[in-house]
Amino acid sequence: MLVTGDNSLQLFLGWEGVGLASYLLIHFWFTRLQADKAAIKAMPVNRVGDFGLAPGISGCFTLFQTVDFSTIFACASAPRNSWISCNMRLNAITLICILLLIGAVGKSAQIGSHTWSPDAMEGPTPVSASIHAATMVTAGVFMIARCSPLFEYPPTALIVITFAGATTSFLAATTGILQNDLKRVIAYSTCSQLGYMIFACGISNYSVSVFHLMNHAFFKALLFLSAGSVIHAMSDEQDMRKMGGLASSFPFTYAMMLMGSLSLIGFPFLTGFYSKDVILELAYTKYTISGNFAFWLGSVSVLFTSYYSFRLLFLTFIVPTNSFGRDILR
Amino acid sequence: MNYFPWLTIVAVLPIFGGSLIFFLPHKGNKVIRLYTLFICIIELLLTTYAFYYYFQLDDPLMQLTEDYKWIDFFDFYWRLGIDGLSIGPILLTGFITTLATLAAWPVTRDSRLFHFLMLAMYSGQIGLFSSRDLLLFFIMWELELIPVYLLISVWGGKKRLYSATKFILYTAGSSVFLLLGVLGIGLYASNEPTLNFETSANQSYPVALEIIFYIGFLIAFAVKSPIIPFHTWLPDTHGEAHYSTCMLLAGILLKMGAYGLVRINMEFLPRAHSIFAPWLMIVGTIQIIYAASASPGQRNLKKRIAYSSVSHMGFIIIGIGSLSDMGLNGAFLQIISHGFIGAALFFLAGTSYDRIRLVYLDEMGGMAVPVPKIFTTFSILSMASLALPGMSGFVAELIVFFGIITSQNFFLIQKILITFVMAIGTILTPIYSLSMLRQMFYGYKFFNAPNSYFFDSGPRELFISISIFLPVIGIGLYPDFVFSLSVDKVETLISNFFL
Repeated sequence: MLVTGDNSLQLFLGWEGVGLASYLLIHFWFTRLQADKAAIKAMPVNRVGDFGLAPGISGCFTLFQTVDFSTIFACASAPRNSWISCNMRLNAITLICILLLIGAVGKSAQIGSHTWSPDAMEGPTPVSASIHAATMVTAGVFMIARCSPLFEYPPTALIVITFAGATTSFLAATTGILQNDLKRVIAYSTCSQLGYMIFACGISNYSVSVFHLMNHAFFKALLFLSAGSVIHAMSDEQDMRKMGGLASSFPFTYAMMLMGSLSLIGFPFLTGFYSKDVILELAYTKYTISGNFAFWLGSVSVLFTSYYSFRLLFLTFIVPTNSFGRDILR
Repeated sequence: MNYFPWLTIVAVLPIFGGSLIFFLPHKGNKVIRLYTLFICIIELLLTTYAFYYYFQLDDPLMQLTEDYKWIDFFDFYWRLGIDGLSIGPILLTGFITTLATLAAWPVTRDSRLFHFLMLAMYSGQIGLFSSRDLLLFFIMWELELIPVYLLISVWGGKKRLYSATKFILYTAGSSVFLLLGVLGIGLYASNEPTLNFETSANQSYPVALEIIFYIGFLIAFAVKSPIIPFHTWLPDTHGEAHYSTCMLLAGILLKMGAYGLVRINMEFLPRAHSIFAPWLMIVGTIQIIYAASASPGQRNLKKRIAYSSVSHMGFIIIGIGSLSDMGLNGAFLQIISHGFIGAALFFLAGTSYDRIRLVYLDEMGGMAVPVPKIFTTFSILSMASLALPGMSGFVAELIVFFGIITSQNFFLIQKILITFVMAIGTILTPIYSLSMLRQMFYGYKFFNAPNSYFFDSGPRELFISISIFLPVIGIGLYPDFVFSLSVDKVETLISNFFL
């Protein structure tokens, strides 16, 4: 419903629906108190995003008297209300787009609403793989891409989007390098990659953003699922420092994880290369402040991404065993 | 046009049937319950039949009208009639009262009196929603007070006497203002009281007088459909009453206040309403935020749900104050929707209290494993309460949102402010709902509960929960079920306002 809806109301229905699914699945193991706290954190933070999205939709309704996407996009070029406040000219459409961005921020765990994403790792790994890597968190990016004709009109909003996305990718990557929990590293990595997608939208290349979305879905799901396999094999031990030397025990999982990580850091000829490098090139060639900012932060994030990916691989698979023998199941 | 007195029968049958309860044999409670249930169901079927066959949906005037001289001395008529605005609440009353009777199955003490009082309230509510005469409206309003007082004070929780007394003093005190307003309107410009709704509606009063009447009526309705700061009776009352009384209170009595606001304040006093409408919107917005902020601090489960009721009524107040077609339609939908959801939440809270015998949330915990069916239904209905799309609460709130935005009577900046504050309300609502769920159901069970071994939902309770859940989803997915009832009436009402 979220992706096939042709008006923003159906999109909102699907939006809340995926938020609900996320909430219900995060506390799948509901007797575990950490999981409950995480789920409760997830739902209101999503709602904070909806606090932006719902007035955004209402604003669309006020301006265009319709919620249908095709009508909105057709009318978006007509001159709209604007008013002057704080010595700044604020267009109605800028306000609407910023509100929609707040919705995306809440849903896609950008900086400002990112707190639910690491805690959401309390859910089972398939949940993390599907919802928090591939489908739900990309809802925000999808919504921005869907409303892209609308976003083209306010340049201010685009600058805000670029800054938000670039900052997220940088900050999330820096946090990810210091995490010890296997799934949390991957969670922060998701945050960071979503930041890439958002700033790709901000520099007006929506199709590249969606391309990265697709690629990311695949390799992130791969990473999560193999992480799940490792965790389950280690009898629910998630701390990386307690693992090690699993390369010989689980060669298949190791191979999968290696491929996922290489794709994540944009190793040539794997999918990540095609999407991430294109995003960085486009940021480089966009000669605006936001474009340059995004380029530099994006590049530094690539550095951090490769650092934490390989750290994950090393600590889990290659380093001599840190764990107890009895922890390892077959 | 069929002159068969449908509405009189529908209004009088419950209390008449109730008075026959005292003649039932003393064989035990089962006979009384079955009899009451039978009367409720017959009543519901009669109402549905009468409305289905004789009500035209697109006629904005009163239908099924009856007019009998009752007390000749001061021209007091028994006048009943329904239109698009009252038909929804009457059907809601029938439905919720039947379910509340079914929910009251475990009541064993003094069940004759209990069931008689339920039927008396049923009569009163239908009489109120269908009355076309001001004094009859007032009489039905008062008729609600004593049964609730008795229901709380005999079958309530630990602080029941305090709550019952508070309820009756508060509400009866506000009814004085209602009586003043009724007499004022009735006696205006004539020596004999003309209390007919239609005459009074077409009467135009001088503006100052309108304002005085408006304030009088507003105080009365502000206590009933709680508008802050007159809401303080509600948490105590709902916290202490037995859960089937709570279902009736939250489901129907609160809506009586909202109904009165639309019926009397909007129809009779349009100019005063246009003056007061912005203030109503502001108060409604504050109400949503205030009650949603007060709710997470409650330790008592039923008080938490009571504050959530207050919060949802805020949407209705905003819709009434928005002076727009969509806003009033949204308010009407919220009346119906919250009637269902509030009743359902109180029912589920009550059934879990029946099992675990604890009211304080911090003593509960980990109930999801022993009672998975209650857990599921409670979660689903909490989602409905926090206005999840696909359920009726969402549509109601959304239409009220759109109603404010498209209202042409207010400046843009005011509308934007109110919309933002309402949106904050939608963030606060999940916080208390979900934390209530978490405290009740998740985690491990505490072993100091009085009963540590209890049964899950039986078929009766599942039936009640599902029969409330189905309309909620149905209206959520196809709101035209409710809108088809109210749209024309709302149009007629609002057209009064574009002076």
